[in-house]
Amino acid sequence: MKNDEIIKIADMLQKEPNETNWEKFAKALKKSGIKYYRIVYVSLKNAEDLTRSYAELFDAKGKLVTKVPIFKRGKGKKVEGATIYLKGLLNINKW
Amino acid sequence: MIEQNLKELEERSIFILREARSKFKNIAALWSMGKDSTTMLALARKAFLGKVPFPVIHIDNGIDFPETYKFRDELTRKWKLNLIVAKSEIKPEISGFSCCGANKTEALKKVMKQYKFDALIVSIRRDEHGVRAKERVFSPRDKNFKWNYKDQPAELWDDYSSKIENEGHVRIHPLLDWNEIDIWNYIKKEHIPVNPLYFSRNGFRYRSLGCTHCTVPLKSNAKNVDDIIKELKTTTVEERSGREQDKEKEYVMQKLRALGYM
Repeated sequence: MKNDEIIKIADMLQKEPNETNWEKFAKALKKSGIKYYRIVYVSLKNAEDLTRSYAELFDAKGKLVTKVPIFKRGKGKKVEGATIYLKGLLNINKW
Repeated sequence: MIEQNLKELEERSIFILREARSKFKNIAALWSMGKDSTTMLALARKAFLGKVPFPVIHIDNGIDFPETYKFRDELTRKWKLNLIVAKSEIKPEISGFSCCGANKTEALKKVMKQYKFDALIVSIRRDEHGVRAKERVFSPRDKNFKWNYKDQPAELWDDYSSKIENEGHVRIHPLLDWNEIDIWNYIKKEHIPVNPLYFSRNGFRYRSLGCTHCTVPLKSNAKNVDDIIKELKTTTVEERSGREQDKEKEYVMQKLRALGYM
C-alpha cells in the first residue's frame, strides 16, 4: 500500500496542525498501510512541551513511515491534544 | 493477592448503585474506559435491566490513547450509553500534579455545574492507593469539590448518607471493596469488553490506564484475561507503578483528591 499521501499530509501537519489538516490526515490514514504508533514526548512542564511531542507511525512490518505532531492548534494560541486522529492504530510504546 | 467472592461483591455493588439511583435526582458516572469504570457500567446494566440509566462522563484532555477513543466509541454504540465528553483544555504550567488538578478537575467542575449533577459515580478501589482506602462509599464534596478526609460520615450497617452540604455533591464508590484480581475475574466471568491496551504487545502491557503522557507500559507477556489473572497471583509490582502522577511527590494523590480529583 502506498504511503505517499499520508507522508505529504504529515508534512503539512508539522507546519500547520489545524483541524482541516487533521481531518485530511484521518481520511488518508484509513487508506494507508500504517498500523502502529509510538508516542515520543518531552515532560509536560508547560503547554509548549506538548507541541514538541510527536507520534511515530509504522507500517505492518514495523518500518517507520512518518512522524506527526500530537496536538491541534485552535483559534488564537489554543492548544488541544489530537491523539484521537490516530484512532485505529496500535500502540507499540516501550520504556 | 486475595481473591474474594464475586457473587457477594456483585450484589453489594448493585445494591450501592440502586441506592444511589433512588437517593439522588440527577446522577452521572465517570468513565475513563479503563477496566474498573467499564466493570462498573457492566454492573449498572445488571442493576437496571440491561441499560445504564445515567449519563457517563469522559474527561477528555485530547491526549488519551487512540485505542481508548476507539474503545469508547464502540462501547457507547454497543451499550447505547448517554456519553458526555467534557473537554479539558491544555493550559500553561501543566506538569503532573497540576495537569490532573488544573485540567481534569476543572473540566469536571464545569460539566457538573452545566448539567447540575448532585451525585457522581466513580470507580475507585481501596486497594489501588493508600488515600483511596480512606474513602467512604457515599463521600460528600463541598461546592468547591473539596474532600475533607478527616471528617467523613460513618457508614454503619450499609446506611449511607445522601446529605448534600453547601451546594456540593456526593461521590458514589460502588467498587470500593473490590481488588484488582476481582475485577479481572469478573471481566472473565461476565465477558466484559476491555481496552486492548491491557494486553501484552511486544512484551509490554498497560496495567493502569491514564493519558499518553503520564502512563507507561510495564513488562508483561499476559496476552489475554487468563494470563493477566495468572500474572496478578504472583506479581510484586504495584498496579499504579506505570502512572507518573503517583511518583511525583509524597502525598500527591491525597492532595489531588482533596481538591476534587477522581
